[in-house]
Amino acid sequence: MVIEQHLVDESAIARLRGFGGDKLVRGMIELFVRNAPTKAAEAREALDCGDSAALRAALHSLKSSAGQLGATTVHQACIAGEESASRGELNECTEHVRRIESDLPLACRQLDAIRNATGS
Amino acid sequence: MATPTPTLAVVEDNADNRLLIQAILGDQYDLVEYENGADALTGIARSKPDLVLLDISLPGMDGNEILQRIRRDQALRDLPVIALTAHAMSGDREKFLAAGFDDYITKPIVDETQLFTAIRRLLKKP
Repeated sequence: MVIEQHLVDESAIARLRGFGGDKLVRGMIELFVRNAPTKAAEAREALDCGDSAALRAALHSLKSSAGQLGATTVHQACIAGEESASRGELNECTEHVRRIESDLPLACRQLDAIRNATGS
Repeated sequence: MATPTPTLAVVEDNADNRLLIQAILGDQYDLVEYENGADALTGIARSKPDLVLLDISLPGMDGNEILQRIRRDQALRDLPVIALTAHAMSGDREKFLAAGFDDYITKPIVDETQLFTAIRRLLKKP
């Protein structure tokens, strides 16, 4: 049996619920699941093109959303990747972008499960 | 006569952050949202809000540039502006205050009290 790692810090979800109830939780997750893969793809494209400014911008945008929703490993990879990109250290960024690419699909699935379990 | 509800301009390109700010502040303030600096400067000049929440990392014109344009405008220069940023690096607060922001809030927003405190403090200023 494969045990799935928890990539979402549910205390962040609880905090959002406190800010704006289930409606906010559902809305934030919907936007993240829709937009985060595009940001990750933009980060990959920027990395492959050696464009540190575009890479930094993509990671910065994803960082904020991932942090707010408690997608912790994605958030941490964005922080590290953005810092590396701001120093122009694109080789260092490779590992962080890979981490985002590996963790983001599972984080999105787990967030979707939270959204589906959240009352309407 | 009832006190009018203060109007806040929210300049933020991320839709999820706008949704969050709306959820936190929408019951107490009238929010006018802008996704980029050009639209924000046009809108703020047309209808001056009571305070601006300004994201730093925006596509095109960034928050620092928008702030400088506000500060150079005689009609807008006294406008309270709070930086909203996910930078959160050591020394950022001092850097943003030195640049002319009136306060500084980091994202992710984990404490709504900090946001309310900053807004209320600045709205009370004569």
